[in-house]
Amino acid sequence: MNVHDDLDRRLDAALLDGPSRAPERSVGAALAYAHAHPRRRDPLAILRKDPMNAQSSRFAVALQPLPLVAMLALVLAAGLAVASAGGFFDDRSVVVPPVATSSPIPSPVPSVPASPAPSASPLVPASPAVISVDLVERVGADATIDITDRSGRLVRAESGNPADGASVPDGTVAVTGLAASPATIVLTWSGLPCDTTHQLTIDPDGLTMTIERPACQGDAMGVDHVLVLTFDRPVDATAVRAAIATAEASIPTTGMWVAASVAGNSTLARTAPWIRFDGSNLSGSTGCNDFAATVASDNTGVAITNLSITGVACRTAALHEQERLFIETLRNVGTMARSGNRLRLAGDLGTIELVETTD
Amino acid sequence: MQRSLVERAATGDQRAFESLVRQAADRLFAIAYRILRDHHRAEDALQQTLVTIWDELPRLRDPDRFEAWTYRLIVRTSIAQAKRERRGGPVVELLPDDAVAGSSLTRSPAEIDAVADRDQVQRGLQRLKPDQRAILVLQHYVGLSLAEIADVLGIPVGTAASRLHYAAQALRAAIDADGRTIDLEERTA
Repeated sequence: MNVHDDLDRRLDAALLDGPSRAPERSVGAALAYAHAHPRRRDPLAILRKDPMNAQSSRFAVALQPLPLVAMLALVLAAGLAVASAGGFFDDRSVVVPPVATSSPIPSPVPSVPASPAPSASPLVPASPAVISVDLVERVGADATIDITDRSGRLVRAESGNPADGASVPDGTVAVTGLAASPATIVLTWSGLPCDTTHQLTIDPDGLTMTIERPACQGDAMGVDHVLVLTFDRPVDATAVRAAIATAEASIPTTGMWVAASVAGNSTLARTAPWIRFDGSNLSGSTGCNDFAATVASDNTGVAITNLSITGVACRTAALHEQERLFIETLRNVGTMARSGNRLRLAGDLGTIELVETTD
Repeated sequence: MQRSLVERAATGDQRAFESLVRQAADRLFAIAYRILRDHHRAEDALQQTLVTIWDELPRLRDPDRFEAWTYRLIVRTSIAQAKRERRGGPVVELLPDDAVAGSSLTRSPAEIDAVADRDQVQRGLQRLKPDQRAILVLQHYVGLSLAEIADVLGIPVGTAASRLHYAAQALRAAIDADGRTIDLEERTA
């Protein structure tokens, strides 16, 4: 065996030493990041540089046939959009579900005039708009939904026309877009004829939506509720995260839950807050300090109390701000909704979106 | 199978992304650890790499190059991490308990010799520059060919061969220097 072979052998053996399993914390945080940053359509994607083709210059790429075709398509699409906005296609039929309310829903207006001076704390929402919509019901009592719009983007809300029976699994919300109206989405969820009073909260990001409904037991057939929401800008239905919260949501007893967003703000990728539940106790980290609290639930919702936290100064202002927002939102949680490996804690100051991970 | 997952993840399918991440994370972490020689910094490098994969996956034209691309990302992130570490001063790593469990007392003399030999190579690796460690890791731990290493690093094959040669030479010199230091310590003891 020569010297080269010997070094190779020794190096092979030495490099075998060391961990070979990735820590779940890193994987969970990356998945939470992906969840909090859903893929947006990128019309210029075709023009962007391939990360594994560093040699090709941007100029060379731009001259290739495919990017040229893409650029022409973009120009054409922009022209069509302008024509559409100008009423060029107004004679086409646009499928809009029938309005259930007797009069059109006015644009949301804050119930209390906003103070002319900026609020001292950005955590206190400036009187979000609340509007009420009568939901069309095939069977059962009349149902209504009160909509709290924290995004300020909602311009119209109306009931859709439900089909017979329940078309979506219980506890889930189907979100669909309307091709003819990119600013409109349709929420469909199922329930029982007795769940008559609903509440919808739209978070400041305009994409996180929580429907709260009363606990409702019975052996009646399920029914659909359909709500049509129109915003002041196009909405990607696939990016909307809508969930149902019921008053009797069960508190998870296992697993570690990493926050993907807090009150509509994405958490910091490497230092996302997390929570672990242990019966009526919960503990976790804000990404900066450790905390513990007590959690209780009853028919009216969930309450998080006895919150205590360590007092270490956060390394950065962003971390400090994340901690402040997380703790304030956590203190005000009133409902809890779980859907698979996702958990949503909702309250007056917004929602905390969590993704389950194991560690 | 992986090609389909890459294509789906690129369009925003989070389940496909999770499957990809679960398949790749162990190997990427192992590479980062062997370049950085530090558990926590390797953990940071892994997380940063996975986030970059999510953000930039739509730009990857050829799904079959996904694996090579992830190697490129983890190597670059780890080297950048190591440079920051150097600027920030030395890092003291606390070994996990299982790293010392069942150690020297129950080992045979041959096993102790093997451990001492590995330790010497480890100390030699520690003395190398991060990019030298990276290229040795790609060849000796990941098992890539010279052409594959060149592809991962985005350099010509000749340059990769040259860097490998110098990295091995530097390691040999570092091990020799380490041996001389130990001899001197034994003589003065």
